[in-house]
Amino acid sequence: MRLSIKVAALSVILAADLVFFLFFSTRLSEYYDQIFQAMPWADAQEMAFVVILGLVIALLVSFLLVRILVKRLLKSLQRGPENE
Amino acid sequence: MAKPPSKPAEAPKPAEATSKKAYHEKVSKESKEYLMGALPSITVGVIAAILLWLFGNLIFIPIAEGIEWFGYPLPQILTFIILIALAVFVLKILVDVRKAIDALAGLAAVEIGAPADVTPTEVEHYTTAMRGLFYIIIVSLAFLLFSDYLARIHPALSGVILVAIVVWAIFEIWRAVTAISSEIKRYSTEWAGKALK
Repeated sequence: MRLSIKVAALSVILAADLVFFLFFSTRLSEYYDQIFQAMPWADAQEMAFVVILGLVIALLVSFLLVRILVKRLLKSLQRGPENE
Repeated sequence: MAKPPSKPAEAPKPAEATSKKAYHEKVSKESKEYLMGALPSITVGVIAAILLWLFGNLIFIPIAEGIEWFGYPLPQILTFIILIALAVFVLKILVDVRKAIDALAGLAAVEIGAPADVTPTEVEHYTTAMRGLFYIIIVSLAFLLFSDYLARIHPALSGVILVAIVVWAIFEIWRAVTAISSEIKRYSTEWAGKALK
């Protein structure tokens, strides 16, 4: 997979994750609650599971993004003097 | 870190000079390689730890307020998860920083010391001093990341760890000062010897 596609895909996942928790739970809390009420399990357990999952996804995706970008930056820096 | 080259105890002068020059070049080359290898890894670790702290403190813990998971409060479960992840990142950063500091100390010994006259003891002294100072800076910064989460688990935990860090920092500063003072002593003895000739 190309680097730009990887970075774009990871950024979209991170943005979706953060927007879901930051925007839905604060600004559109009715819709946020409706999502959990529509599911068959107890709301508190669903919410807890989803929040933990959201944190883990945000952590993994941001770590991968930073890792890819720093590696790319290092490669560019190492290639720089050779090109000149 | 570069190991001292094996050489006979009473080697003839040209051989000793060649060995010293080889050691100088070895330390310089290896230090640069280690530094280039460790810096990206440290950057990734630091940015990941800061992002984790931000996500935890600003988004996920406020959302988790008031939610319970099988009878346990969710903010404390999240705090525990974040603490473990932060500990992993900080340990990774410390390992990389150790490599980078050894490399920096090697470079410092090569640059500050007399050209082609670097001894393993000198490198060791610079390593001890730099390790001490950088460890204090990194552990203090790591404590700032951890303190909020530790206080959420128990209010006294943060204070107890801070006292331990202060005691340890005093010990590290004492070690760094001892290492640097022995280098200063060596240089001043050399200069005094030259001046008296």
